[in-house]
Amino acid sequence: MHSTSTEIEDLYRQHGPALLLFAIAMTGARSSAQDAVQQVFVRLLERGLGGVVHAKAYLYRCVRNAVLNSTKAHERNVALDEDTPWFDVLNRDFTEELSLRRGLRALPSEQRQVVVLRVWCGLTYAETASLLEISANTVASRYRYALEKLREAMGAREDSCADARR
Amino acid sequence: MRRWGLGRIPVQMHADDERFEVYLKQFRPRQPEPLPNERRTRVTRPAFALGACATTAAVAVIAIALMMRHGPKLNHSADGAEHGYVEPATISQPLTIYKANALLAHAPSLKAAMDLMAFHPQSAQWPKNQQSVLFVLSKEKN
Repeated sequence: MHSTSTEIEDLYRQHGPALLLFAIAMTGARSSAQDAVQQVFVRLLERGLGGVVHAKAYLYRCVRNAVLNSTKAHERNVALDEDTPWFDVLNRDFTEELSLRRGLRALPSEQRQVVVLRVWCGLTYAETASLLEISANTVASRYRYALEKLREAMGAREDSCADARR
Repeated sequence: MRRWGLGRIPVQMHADDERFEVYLKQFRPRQPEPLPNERRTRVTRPAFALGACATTAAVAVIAIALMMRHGPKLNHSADGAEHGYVEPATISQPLTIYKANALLAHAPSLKAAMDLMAFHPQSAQWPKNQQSVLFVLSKEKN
């Protein structure tokens, strides 16, 4: 399958934000995450998608590999970037975004990756398991623990959950 | 409570977790930086380099043509000189590499050419109350 640059740019527009968030969850720093995501897409622009059938799964795997390769070269477990927002700010409520970001930062890396992949990247348990090379049960338990910790960290924001449902 | 049938171990999900999940999904990850358009720049780079080379070549050809045209005229301007020989009196303008080459090529001897290059007539006229620094210094030595 020959992919045009327009197709790849469409994929970037469609999956770029979630891929970037996943890379941030892995690296902890927006700049290195951005580098990894762009590196993947620039390579795709040069070589095309080839015979890839499931583009989304392929993109997540590529980004994961790019991050792992870059962190091999640099330092693992770098301090997480505290200043750069990870999410768009809702209703100009900066504290809400900050609270979520702090909650995510406080999670262990494995749990953070799982919760990001499930909630914002829209991957299923099976897809997440395949990507992270762990069992689906491990994904599910990590996800549950992550949500629990995140809810505790964002305790003051629980009222918003009810608002979200209305 | 919702059950996820994953393998042999069922995973339970509380209603609170589901609500919290909905709340979290409200947040939208930020847009990444736009892609650097590597491929386009790679395509345009050779075209640009080719254009630049062509322009440089054209400029060089024009410059050579102009030099060929104006070269003999300069030599002829030296009045009565054979083979474009330049008399000392005619070198009132600054010495350029082009003029030095012409002198070396057409002067009767190397010494004559060097003399022509070395001894330029002083064309600059100083006002009455001003003097050349070189003139003052040479005077002090004497």
